[in-house]
Amino acid sequence: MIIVYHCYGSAHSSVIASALHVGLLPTDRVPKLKEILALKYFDKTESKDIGTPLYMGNDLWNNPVYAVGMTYKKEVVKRAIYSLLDMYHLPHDQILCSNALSSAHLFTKIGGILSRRYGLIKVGRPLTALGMQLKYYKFIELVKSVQKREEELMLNKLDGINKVIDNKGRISSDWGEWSVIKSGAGNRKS
Amino acid sequence: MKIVYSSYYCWPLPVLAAYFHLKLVQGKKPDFNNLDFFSDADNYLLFPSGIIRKVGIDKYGNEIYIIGNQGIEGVIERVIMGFNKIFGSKDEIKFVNLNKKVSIFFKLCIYLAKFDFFKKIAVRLILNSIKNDLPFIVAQVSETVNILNKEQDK
Repeated sequence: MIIVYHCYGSAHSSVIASALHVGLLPTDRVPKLKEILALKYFDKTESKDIGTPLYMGNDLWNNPVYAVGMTYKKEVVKRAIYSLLDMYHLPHDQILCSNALSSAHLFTKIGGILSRRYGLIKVGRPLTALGMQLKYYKFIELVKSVQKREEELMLNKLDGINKVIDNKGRISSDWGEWSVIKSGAGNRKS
Repeated sequence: MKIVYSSYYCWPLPVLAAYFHLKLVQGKKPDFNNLDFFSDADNYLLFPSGIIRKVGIDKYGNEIYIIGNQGIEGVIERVIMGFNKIFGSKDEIKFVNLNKKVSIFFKLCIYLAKFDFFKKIAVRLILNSIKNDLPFIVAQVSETVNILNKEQDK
């Protein structure tokens, strides 16, 4: 399964959400400005790169997580992704899409416009990061809901294959690579 | 290879380009009214943008597709190319953008087509207006086919 967080330009909201998802940012506290600004793709995507999936890492289920910019036409872009799945006869639940833009603070949106559109990076970039801090718990909520959905889908997939439940409630498949713990979103037992 | 003809709306310019590519229509005044996508045009007029639709396979075995891009052709192209790579496909995808500026007249026709009463008139008006676009489409398709021929020769 592929996890996709999308926003307007894959520079801020989707980068934060996907970084949270793969564990690059903490889930128990608001990160410092320095931590946000240190993210590889934070406030970096140029207009000419919007649409390119940015790989953020693999999560606890070993699923790859991407940040994608979809401008203001997310439905059109999502249809393109899903019809590509159809083209290769892949099931639609192969991709889990989540809109990260709805969690963004006004400061992030203004900062993003200043930094990305007008090139005022010194003013715009810290403003976007500040906006992220102010709405950070919204992002945590979003990521937790996505991880919960991911867990449901992954466990459903496991239903289709031989699985073993041990006395601690841990589920493992005979695939080996899919050894997972039932409780706790995506905690993986290797 | 997969070749995707794209435009603001997926109908009629990309369909026409695909037909020229597949040599289903030829000449300066082609009759396309009886072909699929045109004989039942009102089914395709409001076909959602973003969906990749297969039209046929050319003589080299290239699959020909159409897509409506709603003016974000670059984003659509990068998303499709990116996910194509993520899915591990070795198939190359070539986009041919026919994004001429969409006229207000065209947009008005599309708007009118949303009402059943005006649908047939809107289709007729669009089909009449695209006759002016034929030279542009033929040129774009010829260029694409030439590139493919050269690649084939290699």
